[in-house]
Amino acid sequence: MRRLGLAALVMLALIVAMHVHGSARHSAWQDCVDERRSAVARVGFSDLALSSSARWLRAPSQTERSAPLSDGPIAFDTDPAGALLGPVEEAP
Amino acid sequence: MKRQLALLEFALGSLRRRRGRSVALVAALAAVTGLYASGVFVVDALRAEVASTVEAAPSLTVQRLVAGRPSLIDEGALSSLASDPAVRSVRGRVWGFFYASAIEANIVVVGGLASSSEDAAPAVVGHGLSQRLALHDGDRLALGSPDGPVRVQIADVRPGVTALHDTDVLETTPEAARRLLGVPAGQVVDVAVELSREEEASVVAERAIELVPGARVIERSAMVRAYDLTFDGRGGLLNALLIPCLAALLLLGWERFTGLGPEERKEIAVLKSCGWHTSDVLTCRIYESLVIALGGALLGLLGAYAYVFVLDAPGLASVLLGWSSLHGGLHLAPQIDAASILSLLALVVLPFVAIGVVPAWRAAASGRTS
Repeated sequence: MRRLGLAALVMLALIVAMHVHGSARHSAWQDCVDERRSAVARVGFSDLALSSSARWLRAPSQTERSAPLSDGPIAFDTDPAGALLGPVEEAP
Repeated sequence: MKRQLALLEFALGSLRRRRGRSVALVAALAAVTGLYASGVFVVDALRAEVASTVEAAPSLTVQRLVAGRPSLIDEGALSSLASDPAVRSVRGRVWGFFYASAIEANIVVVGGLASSSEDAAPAVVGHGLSQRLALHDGDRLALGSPDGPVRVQIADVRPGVTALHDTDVLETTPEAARRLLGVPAGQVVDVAVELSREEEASVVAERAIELVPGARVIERSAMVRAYDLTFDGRGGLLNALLIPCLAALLLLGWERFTGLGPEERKEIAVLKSCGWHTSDVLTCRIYESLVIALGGALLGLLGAYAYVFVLDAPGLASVLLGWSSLHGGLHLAPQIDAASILSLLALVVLPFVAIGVVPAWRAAASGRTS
């Protein structure tokens, strides 16, 4: 029983540490939201710079839906990130 | 209370007696929960990153399509939209991708800085690009273009906090951007329209399509919806891939618990002959399963947090970033909500407790053990 209490205490301490770390990182992130918005305004689109290997991955919101097919007809999806982000829908 | 503590103590003793099996189950549950939670944490953080900044994108972006691809558009094609009371500004943009063979990466060139009469155009570079090319304020850089080298002078380097948005961006004057990208004067890549009344977006979009037949109009509200759908869909897909792992673990657990060994049957028989009720046996088994399931699930959650937000998700980041050689990395801010944590715990803990309790109840209630 004492061991269970000890394990529960260690777990609780880890959860508290996670909360403190998360709060600090989250507030730092909140503090620079204006800077990030200004970056988006300057770049002109809000797509994340997660991949620079293809235009439809770097700026999916600015790319036509058929871009992957246009750029590499009959090609396999050479980039695993292709499965994660797709181009956005167009306005009706 | 005292009775419950005694039952809990007995359950812990039982776990200690089967130490190897208990440790293996906790480790397996921690691994499955950790994998599942890592996906949830990454997707939620990316979703929050986009949601916090999407309002800074233009209300409408108008592109001209030729042969199904975005093409150049006349700079003044949409200038008449500026007289619409719902429109705040109409701005032609010069931007595009410039392949830098030296670093084998695409640079996003944006012509957004004020024009300059200097020999070298001023340029602001993203954090990742400055590191890859070892650029500092005041440095000069010559980039090859079809019209000869374009010289730029670094006026500023963007901080790391904006890297997820502009790490691969080189912002310079429209003239330098035109030369780098091969965009002739009088034409632009697309037109950004800012609205003073967002509810007029669809009306203004229709007018833009009238002015530029066949134009593709990207509405910011559509982008927000699309991002939500994308993150929901892809995040769900990522998690669905892990369901077989959880199912396999639960199946193994079911197999293990259903086939109660002779030792466990003997234990239940001895307990019942000592006067224990079926409910006591079940309570004990619930405590055993709860300790294992909660321990494993919490360890998995803590591990996933450390993996994503302390170690920046090595491995998962490689999959996400793909072949990209110039990217903002996955230095994400935690966006953990109680609903996600509770649903994760429910997904792992409840079925695990159930598969532990049902066979014990069947054994204790059938009297086969006596």
